[in-house]
Amino acid sequence: MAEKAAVPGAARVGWRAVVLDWALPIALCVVFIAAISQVDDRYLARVIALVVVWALIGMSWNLIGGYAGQPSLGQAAFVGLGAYTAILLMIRVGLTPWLGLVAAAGVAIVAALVIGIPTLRLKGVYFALASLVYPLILLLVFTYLGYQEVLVPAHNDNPDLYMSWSDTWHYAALAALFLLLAWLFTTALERSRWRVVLQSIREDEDAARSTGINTALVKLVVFSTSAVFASLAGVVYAMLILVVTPEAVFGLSVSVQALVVSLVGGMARRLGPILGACILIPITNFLDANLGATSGASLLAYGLVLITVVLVVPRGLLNAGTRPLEVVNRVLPQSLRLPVNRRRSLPSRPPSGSRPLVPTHPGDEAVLIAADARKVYGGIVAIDRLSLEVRSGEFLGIVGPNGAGKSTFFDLLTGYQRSTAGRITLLGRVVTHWPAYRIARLGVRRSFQIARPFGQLTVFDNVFLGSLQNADGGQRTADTWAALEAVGLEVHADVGARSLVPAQLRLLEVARALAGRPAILLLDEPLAGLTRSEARDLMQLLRTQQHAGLTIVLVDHDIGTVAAWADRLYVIDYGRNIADGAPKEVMRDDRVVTAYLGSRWRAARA
Amino acid sequence: MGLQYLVDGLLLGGVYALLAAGLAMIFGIMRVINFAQGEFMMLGMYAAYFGYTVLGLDPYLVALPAGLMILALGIVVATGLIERIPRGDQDAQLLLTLGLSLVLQNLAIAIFGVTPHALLRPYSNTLIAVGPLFVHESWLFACVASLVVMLGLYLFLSRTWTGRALRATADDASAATYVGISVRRMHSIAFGIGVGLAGLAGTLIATFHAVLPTVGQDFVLIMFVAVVLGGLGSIPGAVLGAIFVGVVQSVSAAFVPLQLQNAVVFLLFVVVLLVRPRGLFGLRVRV
Repeated sequence: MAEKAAVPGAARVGWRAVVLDWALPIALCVVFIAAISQVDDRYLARVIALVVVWALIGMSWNLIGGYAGQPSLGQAAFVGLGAYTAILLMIRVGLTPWLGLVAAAGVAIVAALVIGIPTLRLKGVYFALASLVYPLILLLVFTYLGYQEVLVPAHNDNPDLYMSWSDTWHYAALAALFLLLAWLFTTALERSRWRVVLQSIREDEDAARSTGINTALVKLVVFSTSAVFASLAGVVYAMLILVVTPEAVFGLSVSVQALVVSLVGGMARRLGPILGACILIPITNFLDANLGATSGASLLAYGLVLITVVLVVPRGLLNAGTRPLEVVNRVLPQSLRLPVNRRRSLPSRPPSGSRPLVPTHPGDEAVLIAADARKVYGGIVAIDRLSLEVRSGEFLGIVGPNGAGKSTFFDLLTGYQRSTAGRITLLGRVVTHWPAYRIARLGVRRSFQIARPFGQLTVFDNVFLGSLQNADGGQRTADTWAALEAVGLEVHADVGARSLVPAQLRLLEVARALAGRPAILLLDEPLAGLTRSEARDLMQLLRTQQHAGLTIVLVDHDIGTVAAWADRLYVIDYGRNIADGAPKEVMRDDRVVTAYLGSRWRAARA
Repeated sequence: MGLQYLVDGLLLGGVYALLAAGLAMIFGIMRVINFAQGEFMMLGMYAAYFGYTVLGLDPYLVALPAGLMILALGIVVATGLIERIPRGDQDAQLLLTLGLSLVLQNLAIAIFGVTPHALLRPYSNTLIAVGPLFVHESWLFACVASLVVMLGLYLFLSRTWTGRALRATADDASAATYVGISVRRMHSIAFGIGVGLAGLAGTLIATFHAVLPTVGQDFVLIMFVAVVLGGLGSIPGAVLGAIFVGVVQSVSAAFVPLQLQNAVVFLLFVVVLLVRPRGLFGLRVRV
């Protein structure tokens, strides 16, 4: 139960939620199968089967395209591989398609890894363009190999073993079972901490990494799962259409349909692809049946739908208006109201006296050491052999004029960029080549120069993300509340992060970092855009954390303000360290004065 | 033998350059990846085909008027559809142009049918012997025409005020508004010119390639490769990229079966995206 309570958004886990999440879909699936087994009309049964298959394909797309926010144009790769794997194994070695399903899923996972590992590094439209190409390559290869037209062999002797049913409803029932599986899987995602993790990746991957999320791994897992469901759909689809051609399973139209059914129904919504398929598949099937499959009528319809949806309801029908559950709730008496996701109740605050966020560090050993760190872009040296040691519990200010290389240095320390040479040690570990999320997990957290909140999530969920990696169970909730209280945002916990004002966003970033129980906190220009009094409040807050044992490194160009609060100043100019010491001495240093006044003088001349 | 493939590739690449320049212009100025670029080329091909079969005009006479008509169509599409999407929402823009591509392609199927047509002119299948090499006359003409059009594009962009305003918008749209440039108008003009170039290229390509509604699909990927190779948004980069793709496509014919020739181009595309998403030539990067 402790684990459940730790998940924000798990609406009070009552019997209604259990019924709605698990029992209802299973019951509906059983009812559906019972109902369709009574359908005698072959054409109707076929259309229903197609609707279910496409809902499943759409649901598989929705995992990667909707939930993980990677706009794939290549779902056909997995549908096609699933279809061809099962059918070729059936023809070549007489394998039953039931085992073909397993083989198809295996092939899909391998393909998802081969495609995903390199391709998921790309962002947005670049990912979309690259993903587009894989099924087209497969299409050409399968055509070349001579699989232009593969017929599913008929096995009337044992239809159940070879899925050679004469009644089309069997295929619909089978697809419905997989659809149920996909639905339950998606439900589990939405009810677990994966909901906030995926939302964070969808909104801002860099910021997600700063909370210690291994975004590459998460995306790969979701991509592979999505591929498995697509390949299962591919097998059923092949058995249903009986003649498999590369164009029918690898064609661009398959990827487009997968995307359009999800998009029309609603992105990142469980019901979306089902709704989309129910609307679109009967229409296009009707067009194909009456005008011929080569008439282009159904694809024309998809094109028109795509344009209309993008212009009119960009997030899909379900995201456009009232949520269906809310409509249902309106007619139900108060006591029977169903839990609705958006109105999530926050996990309760633990009684005060939870463990302190900042772990006390003994002594004053060096917790951050940069040795001869260097960064070169092309021929330009941005950072030239910077060496720095920060002791435990210290409050260090890294200052320098604009363009001095502060932010680059900051990125090297936090794993957002790789140094060209040199060595960086954090908390006794050499982290020079570590990715950002590992550094965050180590207990070194950062904030961003321009605050990067996850606007679609609540303030609580934003901070909760920070606590995910360094605690477990109920401790996460406790850490989240403690971090919110430390910055004074606890009264706004259930507010959407996008409605915060700039100063609050800064605090939110600090809270997100603190929730991860960091040993070192690095802040990139946290004072930018704050008023004098807001800046003072923030610095006071940081000072409190420092006294609790936190090591703080703050980067800013406002040398005056930083000098008033930091224990030590480290001045950078032109990528080099020009002064390092107590603020009072550094401020009098000739080179520092020249660097600052010189830059103004240059600015005045320009 | 090897040299023959190279010459073929250079000539083809010269024609692709026109297609790629249009796509690069649209991306450079609007930051929109135009999926429907191939379909505008297809419209140009049908213009050439009907110009010849119905009016008896040579494709080279049809090229400019067809290009201008498609340019006008492009301006309508940009103003009526693409500019309605919030700027910067690249996913939505991509989906919109994808929808546009499906609509144009399948409207063409509905109207013209799926049968491929051939536009045969005296120069269509003629080879000129130059020393040990053979040069396709139709490719040579198309390549030369393409170079002429690109020279015109260069002069337009560098010598006219509209051209300068377009470049200013590409550099910094908000700064452009400060000096009184209507970004919305520039976007529409850029889209119009971009697809107009594709349409014009289509009329040239129709002289040596079968005319059919789905022809755009293969070509759009070739254009994407060229544009990504050149560093998305850079017109000179796209031209170099297109020539490179032409050569790769042609030379690969020596090593891989004909059916897989496009697979090589697609593979090249993925590899470039993965390894050098900023393009091969290190030209202006504006991503």
